[in-house]
Amino acid sequence: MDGEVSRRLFLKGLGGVALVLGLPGLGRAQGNRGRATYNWDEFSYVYLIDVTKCIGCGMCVQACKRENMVPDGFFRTWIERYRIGEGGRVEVDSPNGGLNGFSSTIVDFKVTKAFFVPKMCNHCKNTPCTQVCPVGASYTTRDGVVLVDEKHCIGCGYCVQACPYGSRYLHPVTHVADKCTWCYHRITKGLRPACVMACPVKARELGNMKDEQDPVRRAIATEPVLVLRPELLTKPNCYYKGLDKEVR
Amino acid sequence: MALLVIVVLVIFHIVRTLFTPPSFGKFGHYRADNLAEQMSRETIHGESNSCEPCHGEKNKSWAIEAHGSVQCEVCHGPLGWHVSEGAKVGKMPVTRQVSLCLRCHDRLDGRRANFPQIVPTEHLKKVGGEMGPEVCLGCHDPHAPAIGG
Repeated sequence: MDGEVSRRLFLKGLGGVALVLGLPGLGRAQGNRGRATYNWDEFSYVYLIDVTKCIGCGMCVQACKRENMVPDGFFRTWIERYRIGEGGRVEVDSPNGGLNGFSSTIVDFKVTKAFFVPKMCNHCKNTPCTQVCPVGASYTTRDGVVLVDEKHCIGCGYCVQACPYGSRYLHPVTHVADKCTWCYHRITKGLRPACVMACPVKARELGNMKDEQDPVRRAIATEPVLVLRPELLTKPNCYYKGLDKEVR
Repeated sequence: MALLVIVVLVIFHIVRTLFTPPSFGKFGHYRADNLAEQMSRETIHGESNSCEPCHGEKNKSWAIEAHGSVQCEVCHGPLGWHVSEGAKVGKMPVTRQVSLCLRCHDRLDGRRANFPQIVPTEHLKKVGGEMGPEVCLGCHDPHAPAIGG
């Protein structure tokens, strides 16, 4: 396993010299796009999903797969379709995570309302997943992103079980925990996450709570928004507009 | 006894030092080096302006059409498949299949009423045509999808 080998080398003293010295300069863009330097103290990321806009095309799932090389059958983000009928009947489906979009399948009740709900890691403030990690491989960055150190992770899967949103999985090749990073390699270069970039209807947006002019910050402050499963007190940083009570 | 305690403490300290990565704890209970590793990962997709250096003029005319909010890479594939370090490395895939159009425009429960969508069989009946793998492109140009202005 790559992670184990790397760690072993690290322990033998071949891990190299620490690279991180205050972060400015580290986020240098590889091309000519984006910002030249990155200072994480200027950012506090939040994510806003507008359920009323989502059309369930699955382009976000596809872009995430390609950007992050997510293995087949696993998802860092996925879309669920909720169909609700008379008498409170609910049908939820997510064929292949919505990777290829949805088709008009039949349900045996009259649908009175229906909507698509994109899901992903909520990058919670009180995140259960990092708390249970026995080796400190899962952590929250100063700018509010929950990450996994794949070289340090031992693949115990404890965090996968701890996440109440089902946002993590054990990677079938590396055998360590994997999850949405809000495309940390992109946002620190001034690019949008792949899912946000790919959404044709602007149902997904990433914002910065430290920027007073940020439209997402304004939307969260001035419009009705909800989070998934607030009763768990995980304080998600992923907000939803137009969320129905049936969504879990 | 005291000697034993000291020996145990020394061994513990040595083992702890050996097993803790050098940058662990610098910013919190994690390996700080991982931040740089995460940030330095290569991007596969570009951004809305990534196509402009080579396809600028076309980009401008397409951007005002109904599909102006759809990024090039959504239909054509990631920039990284096409360009690497400023050089062309592969041809962008061009998908002409009905299935690509229907991902967004097939009438489904859950799609808001004001979003353009069709039931393919009904639409073809109305406009006259037979279902085929590229039937949409017979009338609609994906870069300017509206018909008759």
